[in-house]
Amino acid sequence: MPSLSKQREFEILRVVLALAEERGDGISLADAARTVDLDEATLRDLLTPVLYLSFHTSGEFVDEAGAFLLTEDGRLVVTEDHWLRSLASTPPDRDAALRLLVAGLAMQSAASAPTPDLDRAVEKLRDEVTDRLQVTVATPPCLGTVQRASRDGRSLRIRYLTDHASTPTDREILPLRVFSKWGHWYVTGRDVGTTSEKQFRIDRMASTEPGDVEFDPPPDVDIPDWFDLTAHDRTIRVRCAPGQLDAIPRPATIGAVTELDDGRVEADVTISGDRRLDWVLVSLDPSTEVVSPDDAIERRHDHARRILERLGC
Amino acid sequence: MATPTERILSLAAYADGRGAPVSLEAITADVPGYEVDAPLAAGTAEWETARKRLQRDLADLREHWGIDLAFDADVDGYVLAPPFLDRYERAALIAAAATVEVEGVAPGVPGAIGSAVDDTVAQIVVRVHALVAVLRGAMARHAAVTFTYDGAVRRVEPWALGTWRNRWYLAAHDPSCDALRRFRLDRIEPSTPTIAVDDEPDAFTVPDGFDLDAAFDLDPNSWGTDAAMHACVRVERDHVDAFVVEMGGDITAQDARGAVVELVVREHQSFRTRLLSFGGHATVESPPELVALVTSHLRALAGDT
Repeated sequence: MPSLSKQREFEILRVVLALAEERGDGISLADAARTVDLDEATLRDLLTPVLYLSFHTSGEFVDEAGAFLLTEDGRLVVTEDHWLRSLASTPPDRDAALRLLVAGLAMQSAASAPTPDLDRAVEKLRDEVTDRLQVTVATPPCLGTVQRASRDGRSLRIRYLTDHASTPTDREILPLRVFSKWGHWYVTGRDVGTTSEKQFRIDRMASTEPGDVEFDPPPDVDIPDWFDLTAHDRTIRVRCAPGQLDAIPRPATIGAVTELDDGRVEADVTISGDRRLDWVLVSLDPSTEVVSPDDAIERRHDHARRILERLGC
Repeated sequence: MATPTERILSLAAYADGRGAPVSLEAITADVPGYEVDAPLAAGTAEWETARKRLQRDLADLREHWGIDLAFDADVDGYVLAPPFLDRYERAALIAAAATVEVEGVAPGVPGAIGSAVDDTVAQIVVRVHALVAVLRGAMARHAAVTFTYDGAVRRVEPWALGTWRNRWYLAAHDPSCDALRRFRLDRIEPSTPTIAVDDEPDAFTVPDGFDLDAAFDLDPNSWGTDAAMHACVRVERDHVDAFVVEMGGDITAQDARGAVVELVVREHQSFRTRLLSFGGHATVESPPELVALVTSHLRALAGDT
């Protein structure tokens, strides 16, 4: 076995122990060796005193359930608990503690049932990191139904309002993966009978019910790194009193602001999608001048009139 | 012959297995790697060698494994400090780490709790803003911070950090106006440094009555200062859930066409703006003042006035 420093040996053991305990059904010796940049034989040699500690000591120090073991098919597993991790009396390091606290708070926020073990752990981390940190994850009403359908491999009938339409459509999708990112819950899915995957925002589902089509959830549906919505960007140029820029609803983004001689300011306002553009246009104060594009003034006028008609005015 | 790693880990296992204070004599008798040729006698060279070896190993246990096995004079033996997390708490945190992928925070030391979860099964992704770390440090030291926001330099006392609708905010006391202010972290203007932390620690105290939840409830109907109005809004069926998520309130009547949602409005302009995001699928029915607020605005835009 190549000579490793004690510090390096400890680091390898910590990493492998974490893999064995945190990967559900453990990890193969080969994968663990790759992770710590060792060959299998070297890792096995290094692990031997720890793996078989109970046998070395005739069961006096730790029992089998509290150790981690190499199974006959070459997997490192923790069966119940691991004594080494359970003995740690100092809190995780600063970064790990913050990461765990944020994860714990988000989990608490999204939980639909009591989480007493997590609650105690979070309180301890709060004492170490800060007791004045709040992380919330909103859960839309339809989330539970979508999660169940995805977990059970059943299609889902949804009444869905896209970002670009004002009335919902009925569709049946295969919910492949449910996730929350950028503050919203999404499901990656396919319309039944089609092959292309799409992202559906769960808070835009007006209603959901389980469908009849069964499917095997694929293992490799990734959470997208980002959505490219630039093709849907719409930009208008406005002139208004400086304070009125603050009243423009977000998620519109406001470009560089130019001060005009008459005391007003001019800025470009960009928003994704026609429906949101209509919203921004009718949210502007009536004194705000829409400079461009040419059809924006008429569009603003028409949308205001359409809403008035809906209101019966 | 036990390796140093085996000796040190065996020491921890032995102390745990005994469940009682352990003496240097017992360690040398029972733990592989500590063997001595003859029974230990205090003050001898052999005793001193074993004691120093034990001290080095205890330091390694503390530094690399977070295990605190220390001499307690009261019981005349070495005693394990209680664990920071029990196995159930640790399991709950590991499950949280597997469910919630936290972006924007360094991974921590190799092998830390939650460092090895399979993040391909994560359900929730939370991004921690880059300024959280420096503000957390200032909060821990109770040190004031200075930054530029909306073109003005602010010197405030950082009380809390939190999220609202996927944005990170700082809740801070502004001594210049003796008021609690909320600052969106992504609107703090870049500078060098972006946030300057005062050297002086313990510069402020967060009041006992500080309400963390209220500090990050940025719903205009919570913080608004306009005259409170009890609003009734009729919402078409397909938009009810989205309306309640956006505006809050209670559903007080429901039929095949939709629902009536009642809510208290404390910021009139933002109510109108948010109502208009439903494009006429949500109609304010009362009070008349709010009805007029919406219709007069739309009439002005439509050129009807």
